[in-house]
Amino acid sequence: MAFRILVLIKQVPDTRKVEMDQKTGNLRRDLMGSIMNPEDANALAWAVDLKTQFNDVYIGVMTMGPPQSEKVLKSACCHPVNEAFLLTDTAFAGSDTKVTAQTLRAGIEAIENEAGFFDLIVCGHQAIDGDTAQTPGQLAHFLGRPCALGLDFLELKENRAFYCFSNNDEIITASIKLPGLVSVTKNINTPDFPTVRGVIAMKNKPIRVFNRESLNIPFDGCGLDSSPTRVVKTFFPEFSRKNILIDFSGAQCAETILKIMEKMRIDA
Amino acid sequence: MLKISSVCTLCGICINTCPEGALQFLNSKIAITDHCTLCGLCINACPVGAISISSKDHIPTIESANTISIAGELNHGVVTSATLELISEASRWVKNTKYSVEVVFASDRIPENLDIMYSYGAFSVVVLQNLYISEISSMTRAAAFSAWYRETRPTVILCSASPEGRRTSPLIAADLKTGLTADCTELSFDLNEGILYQTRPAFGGNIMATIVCKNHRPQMATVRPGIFKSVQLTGQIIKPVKVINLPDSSFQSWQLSQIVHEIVSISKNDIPLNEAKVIVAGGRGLGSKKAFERLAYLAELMNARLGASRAAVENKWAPQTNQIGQTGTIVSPYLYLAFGISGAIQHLAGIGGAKTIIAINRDPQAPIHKTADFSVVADLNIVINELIKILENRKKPD
Repeated sequence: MAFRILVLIKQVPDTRKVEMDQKTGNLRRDLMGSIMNPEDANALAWAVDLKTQFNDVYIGVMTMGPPQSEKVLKSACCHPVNEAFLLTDTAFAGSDTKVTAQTLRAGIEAIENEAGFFDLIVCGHQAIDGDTAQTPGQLAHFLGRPCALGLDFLELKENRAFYCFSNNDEIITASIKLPGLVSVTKNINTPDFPTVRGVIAMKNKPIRVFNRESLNIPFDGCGLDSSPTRVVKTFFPEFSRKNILIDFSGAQCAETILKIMEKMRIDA
Repeated sequence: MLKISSVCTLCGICINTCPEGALQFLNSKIAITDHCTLCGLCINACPVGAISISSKDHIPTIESANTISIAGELNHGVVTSATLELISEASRWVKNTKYSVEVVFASDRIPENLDIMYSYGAFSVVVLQNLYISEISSMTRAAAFSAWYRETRPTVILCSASPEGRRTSPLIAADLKTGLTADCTELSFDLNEGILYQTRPAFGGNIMATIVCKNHRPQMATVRPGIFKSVQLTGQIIKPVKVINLPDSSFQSWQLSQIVHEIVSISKNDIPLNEAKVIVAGGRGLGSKKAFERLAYLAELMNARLGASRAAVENKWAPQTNQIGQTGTIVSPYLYLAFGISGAIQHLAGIGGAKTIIAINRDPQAPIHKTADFSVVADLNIVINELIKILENRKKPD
């Protein structure tokens, strides 16, 4: 086996398309939809591309979520993925990033105990519902594996992963020894659409389901109750400013803008 | 566990609010299916407050020292302005209380000019030193900080939500087995409870959430550069900086795995976006790359930095480094000129700190008009061309 790769994906509401009525709190659910987190699609596309570079690449795809997350695994299976794993249990609901990482670790170790180490675990950099970018790093620590986060470029050579990431005004090229864990950004590639053949093949790929019990996770080791962080309040962001309308012709508007700047003592 | 109490009026607003479709009418009640992810959006939407999430606390509050620790950041050996902002903010909370502010740096050498930290309000300054530590190796920095924090257990750790901070803080939080809240836009430290209330945008920036790390310690939060203001004080007591030589055993072999092969500087405008005093930004309304280039020219004439909304960046009219908003840069200029930007919440999250916002958008319904100081409802091309004309004339020698 050249490489055993595990791609972690998440099913998320498409928060880029959310329309909220701030008065009633209604979401236009019909506009929103559930999708594969965009940067996870980048991670999956990177793994699939590996199959064109090396013989004998195994790709597993895993997600932790409510039962309807099966949909995102099916989407992934429309690509050349070997196996899909779903970690689901009502006990997992409300997990913060730490507990999510612990639960994923249990799932990964269960599979590795059966079938051997993953050379590389690939995640998307951050999810569009949580936006924290915390889970991959925490998971790497719990697994005790070297990690490289927020990567814009990634390739494998022998037993090392070579990558690029940006830090302020520099681009850094570095490498870590495998087995390791990485998270990739949307800059790394442009995912392809699945092929018709891929969609047909998806139907023959079973999804292995794990729950709290089959992962040997104690009741107080998962979900909301064991999450260190809790949400105590949610509210709509408020913006309160003066709001003066400048209602002239475009030309007069320009003059007024410059007058405002002068008043603020900004030189133009 | 999601609970709906008897005050529920069956209005059904929660059903429409749930992004997972987990709520439905069943037998004259509202039932919760296993699709529920406990995101809590329904709680906010319910007009009568019938919905709550019940949770159990498994552990009592962990003991911690009365210290607010800033995990400081160095850029080429120089303390970042984001670090100074965090010190200033924390020292505002603890004035005349039993709490004190500590700043910690992790480095392979001792940085210079560290006693300046005291003038921003630090009570103690610590340098964790070991040759393995590198500014660009998150694993070594995290290992160093964790070694210190395992011993000292401060009640709060603050980090900058810079690219490096966002890589390092999850590693520290995992090592300390504690909670972490990223990209906070507001922090409030309750002196009586010793609890840090951490507010951040959630759900793609469409909603704000206030989070606490109730029982685990330290309570960790990251804050984007530019959210807080750094203030230099006078009359602070300067003490010697404490240097701790960390033993090599502080690092596990996997944490030392990264080898750096090359560092390339990318050319940028001199002033970073989050320090610019005047920003001229463009959004979808510009319509084309050519129009954006014209806007860039206007920015140049105004001595302003050029910014872009996410829509403009996705259309490849401007690079990601110019992006302003929740997933871009957070800015707090004196003046923000928004051309053709609709005002999506994710964008507004990036400009809340601007002193004055002038919005130019010919759609009077665009949300940005409600949140700007001055609204210009006009064709932005005319306004841009006029501004350019006037400014070019001013520059002409008579």
